[in-house]
Amino acid sequence: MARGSVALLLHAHLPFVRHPEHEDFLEERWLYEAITETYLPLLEMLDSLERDHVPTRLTLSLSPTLLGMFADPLLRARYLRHLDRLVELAEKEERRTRGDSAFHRVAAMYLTRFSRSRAVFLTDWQQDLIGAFRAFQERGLIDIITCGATHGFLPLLDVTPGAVRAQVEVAAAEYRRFFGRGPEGFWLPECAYYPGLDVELARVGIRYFLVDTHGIAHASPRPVYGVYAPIACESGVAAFGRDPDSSKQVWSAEEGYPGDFWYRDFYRDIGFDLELSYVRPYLPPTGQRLHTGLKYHRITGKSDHKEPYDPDRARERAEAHAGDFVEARRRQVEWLADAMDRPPIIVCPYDAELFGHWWFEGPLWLELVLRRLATAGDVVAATPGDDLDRHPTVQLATPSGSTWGWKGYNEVWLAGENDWIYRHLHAAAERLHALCRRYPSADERTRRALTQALRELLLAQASDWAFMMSRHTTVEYAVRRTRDHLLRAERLCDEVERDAVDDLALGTLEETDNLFPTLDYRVLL
Amino acid sequence: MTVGDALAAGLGTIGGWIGCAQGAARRVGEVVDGLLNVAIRQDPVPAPPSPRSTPSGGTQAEIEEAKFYLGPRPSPPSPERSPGELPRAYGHDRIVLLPRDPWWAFAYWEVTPMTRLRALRVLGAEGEGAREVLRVYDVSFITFTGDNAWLSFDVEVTPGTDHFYLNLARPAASYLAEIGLRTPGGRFLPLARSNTVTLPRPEPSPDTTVRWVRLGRHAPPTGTVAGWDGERLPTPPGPGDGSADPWSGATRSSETHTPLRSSR
Repeated sequence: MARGSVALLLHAHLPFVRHPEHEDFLEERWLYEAITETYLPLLEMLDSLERDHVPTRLTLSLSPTLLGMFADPLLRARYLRHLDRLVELAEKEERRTRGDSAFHRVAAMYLTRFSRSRAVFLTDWQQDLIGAFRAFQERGLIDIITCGATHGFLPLLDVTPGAVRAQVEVAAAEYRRFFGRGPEGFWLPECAYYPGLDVELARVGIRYFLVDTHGIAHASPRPVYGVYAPIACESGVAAFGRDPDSSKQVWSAEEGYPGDFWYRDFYRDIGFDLELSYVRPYLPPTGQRLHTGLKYHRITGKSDHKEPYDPDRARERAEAHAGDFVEARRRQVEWLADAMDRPPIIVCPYDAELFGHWWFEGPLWLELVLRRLATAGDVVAATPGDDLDRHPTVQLATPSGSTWGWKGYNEVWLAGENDWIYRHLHAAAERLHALCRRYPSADERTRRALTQALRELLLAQASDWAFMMSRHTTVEYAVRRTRDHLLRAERLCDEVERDAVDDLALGTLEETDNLFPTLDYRVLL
Repeated sequence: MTVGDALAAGLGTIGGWIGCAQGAARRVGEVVDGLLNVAIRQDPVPAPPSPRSTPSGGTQAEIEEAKFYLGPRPSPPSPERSPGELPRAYGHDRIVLLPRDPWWAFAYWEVTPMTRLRALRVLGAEGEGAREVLRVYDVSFITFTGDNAWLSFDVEVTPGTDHFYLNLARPAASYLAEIGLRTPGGRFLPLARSNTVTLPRPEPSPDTTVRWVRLGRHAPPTGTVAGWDGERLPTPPGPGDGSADPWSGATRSSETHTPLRSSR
């Protein structure tokens, strides 16, 4: 009989990066890399666990923007083209490295992996990644939860009427469209909570959400079991808190598993290491050097000197780290179970893209953890929903405002680099809200224009843009995306006000920013 | 009545409303720590470290960033922070407060030239030398009526500024702010009033009440039960190694505390 449970939650999200106006667009590679390195390996992992009849419970948050991109025919076709090139490059690399045993085995590993990815994507799942994850949900291996429609940073959108509601309701509607029922869990973008947000979640039937450790530790009244049991808001929605110990073991690049010297190095890539003329066909048309995904070195140490990657040794380390992780949870549960009058739940949330993309061995480690949990006896894998089903009596308390960002509050998304965006985001939301109220039952063209304006507003609200500005990463792109979507929303509002909607321009926008096809502006009313 | 309503209704109404606000300011002024106000006005105290001046975010942020990393770019990312062709102003009087953390809030505002002009007309000769100030009210647990705040303080802002980081003294408290003109004689004429923000709590709650509820799958929670005789688990540390305010020695806001202001 299990004395406690471990809830592994992966949050899969990318902002909407779809640029039909260009044949080859750099930022779309974020999606392609994540599919190859994270999402397909996760599907392969689930398949492997299922084949071996390993009882598996994992929670996966799939953001609505990611779902939209998974479902998009253009991005699917482009991904396939990208993957084909990757397989081709791996084939060339397999040939080039013959005679160099250390690198050849790594090149051969990539060729095998990419060829398998291609088969999984094209043959096993017919390019339908949503269908793939849905199948595993229906067969009970995973619980899929949702997230803000475009990952809007909700505590800073709350000042205009309808803005938070739209992020929540559109997310729930998209979930229903793809999975045939309502979502039970909601991953708050950036785990950003403010008291009262749960009321919006309750409106769409959400059972639980997740906050960082201090969201529970500083909840009011003070929770008696800390983060090791959920609490319930007055709205009836439960909140689970992140376990700090397991978090550090995986998140910390210094102390955590991913920094192990035998693991593959993320930064060395043949896109930079090999002759430009050789890798050029796999780079953007500009010839700009980029990561290709073929990386031959292990972390080795803190210096720039890197040794060749050894997949067997890396696997051994992943085995050891999985054992260590499960043992640490077992010890935690043992200690906690004695101190509590309900079985503790250890909540371990991570960015999905950590696994495979940043931490190459991450999916393998995760699979090994799930296999060990299946036989651990006193500690089992569970989802937050499972925990509420088994233990529905929960302490009443409201989490405190918190995020999982640097310093635990809003500072990453509200700083000197990005604070200018809120004036414009709020003005656009307010204007659109007023217009929607003015046209509660608009004619077809006005309806389309207002709906597209809302789509543009939602896209401008993505927390990713503020994050990039604050982190000084692809700032130019983040600024452009924020500005472009806001300007598009503004223009549409102008046209509606003047009763002069430009049909042709509207049609082009609808085709370009084609997210949320069933969206209706009246969600703002 | 909002400031916007008042302005629309005409100057006569404004006058009445201002009188009311002045009363409020006088009353709440009595409980304000006078020294703090002096510190704000004269700004004689060395500034604490800027809340944020370099990109930093710890390892989790670095890992999150990796999903947007396609290799080192040939040129450094553009430092551009400007909104480009976005409107420089929206033509509405407005001030908005946003919570940043338990100690800081961000305010941005817009006051239209017409409103400014009207305000100066109202002030007449008194308006000579009037300064633009943010008047910040602690409105914890109350519905603010203009004269019932627990306390208030003023922050003088540089003419032409349209945003400011406010260092607020009490975490978990609720604040609202007005942007307005303060005359040398001490009269305050508000031009716009903000929303209310409640800052997060940086430490465990003093409320140790224990109540239980049964959560239904598709039903409202039922059967609230009070009481518990178990033993509390120790509270884990807050973010960033404890819950201490890193700028606890700071004075209230001043221009020098404003992190990396964008220039537009």
